[in-house]
Amino acid sequence: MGSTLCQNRLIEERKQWRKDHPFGFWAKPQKNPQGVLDMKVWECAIPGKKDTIWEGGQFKLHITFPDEYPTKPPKCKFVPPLFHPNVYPSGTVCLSILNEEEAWKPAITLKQILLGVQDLLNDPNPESPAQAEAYNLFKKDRAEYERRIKRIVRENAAP
Amino acid sequence: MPPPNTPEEGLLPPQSEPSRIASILATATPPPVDSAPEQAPSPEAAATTTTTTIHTVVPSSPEDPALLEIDYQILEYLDTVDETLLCPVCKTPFHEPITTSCGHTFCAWCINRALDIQPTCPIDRQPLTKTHDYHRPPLIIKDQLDRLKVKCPNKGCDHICPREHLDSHYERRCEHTMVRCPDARCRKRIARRHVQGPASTCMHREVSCRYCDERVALVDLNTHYDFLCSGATTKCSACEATVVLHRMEKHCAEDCLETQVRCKWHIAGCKVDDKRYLVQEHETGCPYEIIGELLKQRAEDRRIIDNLTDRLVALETERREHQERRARRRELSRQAPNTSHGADAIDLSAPDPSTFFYDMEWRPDLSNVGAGENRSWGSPEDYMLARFERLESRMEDLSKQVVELDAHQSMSMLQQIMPLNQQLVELGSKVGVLNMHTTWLMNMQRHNHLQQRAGAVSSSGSGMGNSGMASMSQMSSANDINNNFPVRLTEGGLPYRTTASRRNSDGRGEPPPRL
Repeated sequence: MGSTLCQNRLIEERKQWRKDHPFGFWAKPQKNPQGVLDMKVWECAIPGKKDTIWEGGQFKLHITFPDEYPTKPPKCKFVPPLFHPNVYPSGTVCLSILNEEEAWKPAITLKQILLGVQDLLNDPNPESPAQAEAYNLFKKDRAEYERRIKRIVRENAAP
Repeated sequence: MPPPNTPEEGLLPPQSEPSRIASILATATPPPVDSAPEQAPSPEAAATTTTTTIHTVVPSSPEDPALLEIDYQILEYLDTVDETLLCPVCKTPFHEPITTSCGHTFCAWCINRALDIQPTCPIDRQPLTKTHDYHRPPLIIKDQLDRLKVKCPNKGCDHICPREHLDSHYERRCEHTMVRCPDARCRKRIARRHVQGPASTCMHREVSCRYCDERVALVDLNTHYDFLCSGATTKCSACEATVVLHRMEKHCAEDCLETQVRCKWHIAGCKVDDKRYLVQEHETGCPYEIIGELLKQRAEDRRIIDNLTDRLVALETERREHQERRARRRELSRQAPNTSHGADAIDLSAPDPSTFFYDMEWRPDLSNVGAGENRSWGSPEDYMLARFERLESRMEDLSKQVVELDAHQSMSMLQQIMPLNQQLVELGSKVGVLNMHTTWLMNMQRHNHLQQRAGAVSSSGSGMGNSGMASMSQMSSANDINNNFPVRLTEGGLPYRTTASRRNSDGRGEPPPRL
């Protein structure tokens, strides 16, 4: 029954998303090898925010929903892993609203998650570093950090 | 402090938690799963939850209920539902909503599932306990939810209704609802429309297909013939398509593109008669379409006109009959007074008992009159009717007059009686006053007598102090009387206080003795 709630909620999320979603984003459930939609894994893309160094980029994200969703948060993972102080080397996003112990609550929608991750891009949280490389550069050499970001944006330009 | 089991207003009682939860969830969730999370993270429970798949409906109890319950989370709503009516957990309109102590509303089922995993509010993360912190949400929410237009969850049913009526539609009316198989031994379910009669034949009994070797459940037989049967297919003689034998007729009549058909506007004069696919192409732009439509319209109009004409004719005959009857009756009533019984000229305006009774007596020999001498009266029936009508109108007049008279009478009665009544009351009060006067006077006289006698006795010279005491007490009792007296008298409307006090102050009037 738990998974019914999860499935139903995801169906609703999908309906909502198709009805209305922010410009430049996309999100859809993944197809498994048999061609059947797997509602528990979504492929998403987040555009870089306007008027920031991230503008013009588009970053792919896989969101995996656990059986206990929406009581437990989904897991967001940049594919390929993103150069960012709050993204683990595996690509997993470290964000308070995605943490069951911190700020996750079942009322948070997919749209809010994606917008939250978009905000995180230009507004990293130095309190919870997740990868050494980006974090060190961000801390010590901001100019080099920004150069690096711009290069990544060029590599992942939005279509 | 209320007794332990008193439910507080708007609050679910904190006691008897398990039963409470059960009652809240009874309609929202099947008991087996409901109880599973209570024992919390047991491996079996986890296993059951992961293996469940989505169904339109979910079984509500292990021992085969009559109907499967509606899963409110997957209902299809017709209009966009306001976001405030969506449960934050399942994101669908609330079903059996409850409000938490922090003021947030959820489906009872959803909040219980959420609290099983994390005991905090899904919106503000405040600590929450199951059922303890629940309130009933305002009724306005229920009203709004009840009004939402929703589609019946049964496959194949297009019924749309307000959500409050969904249950009754699903449980009683919908032909697509899965019910128990008529055979009590069979555990499978079957759509209500497939249950034929009360016979307890199991619809899942397997029968062999007429065309192939397969064994098919009785209930699926039609679907099998229509789509699945591989046995007796045959090639359509016209279009080369492989068609199941069972459907051949239908195929030729409706689907086969090679069959020779006429344009659907042939009634309008279109001469096209060709293979179906050509005719279908032709039909979209057939020049006869306009005429066809007009003809159709005309036929429809014709039908309406015929209908109206029929009704008109019927009405006309009815009217004529009516008129004839009335004319005859009028004639009758005109002739009746002039017959041999001329005496029965009845003046309706002034009912006279004598004529009335005469009329009544006269009725019995009606048969003679109707049947015998006067043919122009028509049938005795008509005569009777005419008489009856007249009598009725007279009766009406009479009863009206009676009512009028009655009213008049009671008015005059009132007018006469009222003054009399008043006079009577006045007289009564006067008599009362006189009575008082006489009593008082008599008392005074008696008192005087007593004093005179006392004077005669006291000449012996003894008992001065006693008599003084007596007179003192008499004085006080006299004052009592004087004080009571005027009040009672003034009620009678006479200004007695002044006269009485004057008499007292004169000193002439000795206080009367105690009565």
